[in-house]
Amino acid sequence: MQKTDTLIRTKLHPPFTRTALVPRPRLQARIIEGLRGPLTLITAPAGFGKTTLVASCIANSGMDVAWLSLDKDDNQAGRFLSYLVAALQETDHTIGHEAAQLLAAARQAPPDAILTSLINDLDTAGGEIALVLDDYQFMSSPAVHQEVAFLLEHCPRTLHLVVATRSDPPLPLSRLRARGQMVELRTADLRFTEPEAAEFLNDVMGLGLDAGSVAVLDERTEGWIAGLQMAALSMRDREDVPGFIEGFSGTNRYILDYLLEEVLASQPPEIQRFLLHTSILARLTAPLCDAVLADDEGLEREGEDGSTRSESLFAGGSASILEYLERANLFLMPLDDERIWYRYHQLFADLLRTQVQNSLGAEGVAQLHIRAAEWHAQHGSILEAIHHAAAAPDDERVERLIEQHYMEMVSRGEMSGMRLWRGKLSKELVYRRPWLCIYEAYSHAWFGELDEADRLLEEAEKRIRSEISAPDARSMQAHLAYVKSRVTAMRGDIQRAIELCLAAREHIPAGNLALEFDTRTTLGYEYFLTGDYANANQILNETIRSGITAGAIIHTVAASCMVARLVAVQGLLHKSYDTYQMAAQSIPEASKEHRDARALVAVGMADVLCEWNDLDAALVHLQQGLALLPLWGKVDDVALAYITLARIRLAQANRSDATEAVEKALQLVQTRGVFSEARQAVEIAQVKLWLAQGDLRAANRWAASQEERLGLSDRFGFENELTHITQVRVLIAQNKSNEAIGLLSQLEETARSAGRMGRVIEILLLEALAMREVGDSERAVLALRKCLALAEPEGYVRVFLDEGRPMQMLLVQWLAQAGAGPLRDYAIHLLSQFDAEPHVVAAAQEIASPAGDLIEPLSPRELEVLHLMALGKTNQEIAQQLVVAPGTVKAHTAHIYRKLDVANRTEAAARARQLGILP
Amino acid sequence: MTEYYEIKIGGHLDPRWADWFAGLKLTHLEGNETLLSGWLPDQAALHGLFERIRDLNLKLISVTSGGPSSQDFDKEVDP
Repeated sequence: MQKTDTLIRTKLHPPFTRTALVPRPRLQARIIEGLRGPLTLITAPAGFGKTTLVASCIANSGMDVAWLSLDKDDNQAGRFLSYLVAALQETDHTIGHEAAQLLAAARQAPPDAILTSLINDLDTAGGEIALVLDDYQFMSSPAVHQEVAFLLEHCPRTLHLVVATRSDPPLPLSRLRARGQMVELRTADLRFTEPEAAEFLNDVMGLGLDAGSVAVLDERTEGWIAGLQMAALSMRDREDVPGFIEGFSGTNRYILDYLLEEVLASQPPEIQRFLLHTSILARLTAPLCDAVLADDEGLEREGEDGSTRSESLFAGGSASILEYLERANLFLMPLDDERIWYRYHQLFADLLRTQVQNSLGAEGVAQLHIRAAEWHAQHGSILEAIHHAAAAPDDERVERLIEQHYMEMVSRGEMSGMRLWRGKLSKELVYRRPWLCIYEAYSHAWFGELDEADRLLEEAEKRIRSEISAPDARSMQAHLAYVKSRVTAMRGDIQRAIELCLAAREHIPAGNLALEFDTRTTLGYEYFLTGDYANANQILNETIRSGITAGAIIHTVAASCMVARLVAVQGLLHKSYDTYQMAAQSIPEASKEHRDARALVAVGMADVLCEWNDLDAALVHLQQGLALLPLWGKVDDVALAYITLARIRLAQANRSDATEAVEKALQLVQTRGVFSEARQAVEIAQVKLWLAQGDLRAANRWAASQEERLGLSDRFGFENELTHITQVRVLIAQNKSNEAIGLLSQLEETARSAGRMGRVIEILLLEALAMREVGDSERAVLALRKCLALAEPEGYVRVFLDEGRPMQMLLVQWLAQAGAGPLRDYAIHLLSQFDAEPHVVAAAQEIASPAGDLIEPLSPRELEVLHLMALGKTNQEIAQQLVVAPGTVKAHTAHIYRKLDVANRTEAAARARQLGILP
Repeated sequence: MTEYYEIKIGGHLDPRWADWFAGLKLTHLEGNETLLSGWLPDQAALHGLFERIRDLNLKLISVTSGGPSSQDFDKEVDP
């Protein structure tokens, strides 16, 4: 939490205790005792000095203090947690960073995860902390109680909760009680005893009463501190103290009522007016009080005797009145060190509020609220402004305030309490306000909730049409077009989406950087999706440059990741990785924020590392990234990350985990709107998984449905490239490699001319395999060579390994007649990687219908020898070719014969062909 | 479903507190008690009242629901 509101900060500090207090060593000792354990509970009605007691105790406890003064509005799971985290961060800023980020970004913050993160941070930090929850009675939400219960249950030894409340909290306390891990103070404990009352009345308030009088007062108030305080205030400037005591003890009236009248009556009229008018404020500061007290035109202030007053007793206005009230002990508490903000004691404020209702009437009180709302709105404390506007009640003002400050509040996160108000936003209200429609639509679109987005967009459009002359109509149009573009793209009409984005760009008001970046990035991405890499590159790189200049980190990173994926399709793995690295570097190292950006980079890097077969590193990056991707919110990237995970798992021969990952990705793209990149990637991963499992029926079904679909549209457009490539795989598995070959040459041409060399590599690879299947080993090897030439400079590995045994054997075959050079070394490197595989996958068609297995498969070396044997080479020639001793070759052939269960070369070759080891 | 409630609290509370207590009628009873009586829309309103009673540190003595008792027959109650 970098910038906290001043007002929010006042919730995070104990109210400043006044100088003179009655020492209560007995209670202090009990609280100190409680602070050794997980929970100290103080339950008593308002006015029993709970807050004062706790504040003074913990000041002397030697522990760090995390303080949270709760309000009615905090009664919501997310908000409560946010404040909890903020309170703990005040003591130790290393605590709760991850928790704060999770809260800021997730739509429905998972409380257990956040609390666990907090608890871990607390364990790590290790210092003793007293966490005070003051006014816990305002919490009635079961979700909040659950969060506190969770905290208590997993409480680190160094955390000590103190809960001050007016009602017993519904928390599971029996276990703590039974184990004696809880200290409880109740009303009976907190009442002033006679000696304490005497000390208060005589020493603190300076009244000089005799024991008898003290006893009467103590009895009448039943030791209620607020009552005694009010009584003392009434007696202070009074001559006939005994008369007062008699009258007071003799009345049946609610004592606070009675006393308030007494106290107010003894104050100068100006003070009375001040108290009544400012009673509507939750927190007071001089300028705000001035605003609320502002006189109506023409009305002069009247004194009690009817004479008009022309000058104030208090030269400094509200500021000096506040000072006076604090010094006079009139229930005013400073909330900070500099005496800028104060608040009234709850009881006192309540009493005053009923009084003011009577004196000014509903209209008058409404007027006060409006003034307060205006002041708060001008000073940026929007929630308070909304509160007062709602209290007036002034619905129109409330709506206006919400609409004007919506985006700002949302970006400030939970603490802004905007969610509280969003929850209260009726559908009608949202629909009435075009901006709210647009913002909500944007939010839904981001998370892929397309139907909701569409509905809101429709409403917004209606509104905009009717408000065409509004000053911000253009800006509305721009926003609307941008959101529509996203939704349209996710629904599949990418051309229209691009048009909309271009239109949006026309109308973006100058200075709206966020929208500018969002639109550019989306436009660049949409070009990427249509295969227009020229435009995509240009726009995305532009965005990256201006993003760096503007310090817009998340936009820079998001655009960079798209560029990285783009160049990967172009077969430039090194450039892809470098792009990710640069993006990572643009995130300030020291900053613990921008976890969403880091997550994006991490999963992107994992993809490249996977291709390079650095699986351990890939996995580390991927898992880190996946953990934090929810902060980003967009589902596409999560789905893509799961696909990478599936690929890694398959490489590790962990088929069940791979299946799980694909299923998770499927679930995402089926339940939410996503762009075509993610949808296709998931679909293809699913088909590949089927082939790996030998489930040809499923793969065939898929291929058939694609045939139907593609029959109608542009056959070889970019959008269908990956689908076609996957179809080829299925054809090969169906033993229809001839068909595959035809398709492949067309695909190669298209991909090559568009510069998508990454795809060309895959296509050539499949060509080689297909050729091998039909027995054309010459062309197979040729295709393989072309593939290797493209792949070698960029270090492709997995694309070969993923094809399993057939590719392994093809490489051996090629190697057998390859000349020296980088490609040869590359092939040898690839084969060594094959050796390191936990399990080399058989061809899909073999898995589906195994042609019989060797009990002991041939080693790569043996395969090489076998190939050369089949070519008719003598042992001598083989030895020369492989640069080994003839004796070694002899040993190999012996092994080969044994494994193939044959007696000579001819039989070996025949058997090998039968088993599919040789073409 | 509105229901009629009678809530007894300790001490005498000024009638001007009626607004604070959901517009219920306040009657001072002998023996230093006040009766809050009237119609409430639902249980939630009742709990809201309890909270206010708690916050003023008033003593809650009893709560009954059902028809008006013989004591207050004149229904000048605010709904």
